[in-house]
Amino acid sequence: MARDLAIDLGTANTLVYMKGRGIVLNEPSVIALNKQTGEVLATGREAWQMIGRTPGYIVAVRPLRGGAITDFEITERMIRLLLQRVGVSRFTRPKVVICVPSAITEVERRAVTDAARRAGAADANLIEQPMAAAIGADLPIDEPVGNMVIDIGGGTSETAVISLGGIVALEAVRVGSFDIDAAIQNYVRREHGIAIGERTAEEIKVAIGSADPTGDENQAEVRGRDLMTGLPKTVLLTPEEVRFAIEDVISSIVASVIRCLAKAPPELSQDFLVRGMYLVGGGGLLHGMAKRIERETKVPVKMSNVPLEAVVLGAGHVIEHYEALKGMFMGARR
Amino acid sequence: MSEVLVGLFLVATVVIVVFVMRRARRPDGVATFQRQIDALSPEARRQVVDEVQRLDEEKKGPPDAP
Repeated sequence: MARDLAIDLGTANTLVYMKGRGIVLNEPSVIALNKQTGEVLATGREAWQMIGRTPGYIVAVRPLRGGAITDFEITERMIRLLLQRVGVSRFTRPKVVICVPSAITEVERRAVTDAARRAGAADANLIEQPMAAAIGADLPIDEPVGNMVIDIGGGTSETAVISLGGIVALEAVRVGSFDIDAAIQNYVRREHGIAIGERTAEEIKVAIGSADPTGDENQAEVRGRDLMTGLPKTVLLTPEEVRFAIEDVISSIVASVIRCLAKAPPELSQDFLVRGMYLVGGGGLLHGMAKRIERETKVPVKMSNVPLEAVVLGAGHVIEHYEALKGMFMGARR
Repeated sequence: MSEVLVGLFLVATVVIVVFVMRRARRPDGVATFQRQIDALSPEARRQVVDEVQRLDEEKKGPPDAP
């Protein structure tokens, strides 16, 4: 008998929680394929290391973009391999709860459940990421008080107000950490005339990227390919430049948080001033992000202890109490 | 004739039993909601809280040796 699973199928990383065991897998959502034969060459961390560094016949791709499946077949193969790695076989078919962005369409929803079923799940149900994040961040969502959670992922940013085990207000934008990386790539190309890869842009973001000025600001050396000469070139990038480059993305995330605050009923709104908002997801780790949201909303922002794992832990709790919490699945209450 | 009547009686009994059982099994809204809220309570979430603490400690690393 297979143990039931909770999966955070993120644009950036996939995490798997096994009932009774905890988190058993945490890997980048990347798959490397042989273009000629269609054979899978690597998944997860191994495939991530190949991004932008593969010979012509190998392609390393992220099959999810903006929280949605862009390539159904590849996603199904990736899920199948991930399930195999945690012990799921043809004869052991577990129940699976998958976390997805709340803004996905009916078609995208069906694509995720179909991919999971075809990959070996006996039953696949979906749960909204902000709801799972609130459970995983240990917010008192069973009480009649306003809990606000901001989940900034790789491809989507979602803000939700939760009370009495349900979503009261929700705001989602298909903008996330990958858009920050893309903005850095575009800026360096436009202003410095050099091309850099996806992974270099991410390294710049982690090293000197910030959403608000921070005390300790150092420049970074960036290496890429000169667009004019085609030769390798190094340029210096300042934190101010990076802030300028990513400003549009950050503004759009902050604006969605403000829109969600505006949607909240007044009785719950006053709770946020006392209890604050909770930030989860990899995007929340960007320097100055909490400070920036706090400055613009005038509401305290707290960082979750486990920003990267909160969503899968929340879904894990749902799989542990499957019968009692099955009413929380997407589509169950509509 | 009597076999037919007995047959009809049996069928009617089965139908009534099935109907009553289905009615009894229909989830009551209050109970379902209460069960959901209970499953989200801090006591029920102890396992998740323990997992959060474990991950947090793992990230912080072992305490420095004196």
